[in-house]
Amino acid sequence: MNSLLHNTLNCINEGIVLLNEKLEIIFWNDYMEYLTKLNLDAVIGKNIYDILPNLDKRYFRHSIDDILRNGYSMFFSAAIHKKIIETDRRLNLKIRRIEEENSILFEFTDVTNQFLRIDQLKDYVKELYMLNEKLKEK
Amino acid sequence: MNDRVTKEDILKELFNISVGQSASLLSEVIEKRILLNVPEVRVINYKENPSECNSYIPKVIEGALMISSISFKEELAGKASLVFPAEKMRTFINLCMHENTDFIPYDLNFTEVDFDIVKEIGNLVLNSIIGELGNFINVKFNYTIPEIKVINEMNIDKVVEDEDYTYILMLYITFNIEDTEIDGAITINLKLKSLDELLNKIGIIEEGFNE
Repeated sequence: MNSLLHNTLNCINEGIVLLNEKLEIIFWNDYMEYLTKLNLDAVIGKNIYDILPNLDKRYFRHSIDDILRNGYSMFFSAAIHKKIIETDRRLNLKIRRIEEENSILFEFTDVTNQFLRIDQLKDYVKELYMLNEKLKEK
Repeated sequence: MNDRVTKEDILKELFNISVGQSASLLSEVIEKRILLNVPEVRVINYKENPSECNSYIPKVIEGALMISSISFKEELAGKASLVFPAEKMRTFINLCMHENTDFIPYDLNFTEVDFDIVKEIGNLVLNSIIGELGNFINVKFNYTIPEIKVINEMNIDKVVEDEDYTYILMLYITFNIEDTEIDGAITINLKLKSLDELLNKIGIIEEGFNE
């Protein structure tokens, strides 16, 4: 990978992983190191299911197979998949095929702040609802 | 009684195979038993009479709607959308999240997290359906990640958007999740050439059945 592209992928605040068609890791950016506490040297050439064992489920295997064979783009939400990576962060995951290279791109997007904001709003709505019910009783 | 097998019957069977596979995967993901069924399929000529197309919209699709859409291109180009009443989607999202929200008033203010859940479900169901269609006519596609939008009422123009599309495949779909039934529709917009290829292949099967 050329150094400009390599450095760019290391600058962005998203976890980026590139796999070859055997599902071996060929790139792991700095943000992935931050999320997993695993550095590039420890993961390069390893199978993705060995490094992220929570992906080793029928559903993900089926989806990744479809991505490779049929070119699907898949989206996995942090709300449904709470622990794809063992971290406190809430992460959405997009997976797509890069056809020319016959490789797979993983993009982990941190949406933890969205969850915090929504939880705060839900608590506030609940509070207002209870207050409203009490006022109706009086 | 007419025993002839129609193109719509063949398409219905084809789509029921793919939604069956999606249902099995979805059940695994949200850890609840989900059944999906496509009871009816229609092929609609949008170019001929766009306003008439609205009469094919199922009666259950009323009020605010949530639409999850993917586009596909390469040899066969088009757009597929999963359309559900927003009110029912709120129930569906809560079931997916294993959330009991009895005390929270009915609310259509969807959050980004709600949209992400619908995006994932739309992604799975629409990929299966378009993938099955592609396998059937032996064509591979490039797919996009779904986009989600909420609109106030169902109007075919809001689903088609691009006038280049001549035909719409309208699939009526039912989600059954823990005895809660949610009726919706899937629309697949296709250009004439794409639909021709599909219908030619189905025509051959149809002739075989009716000989």
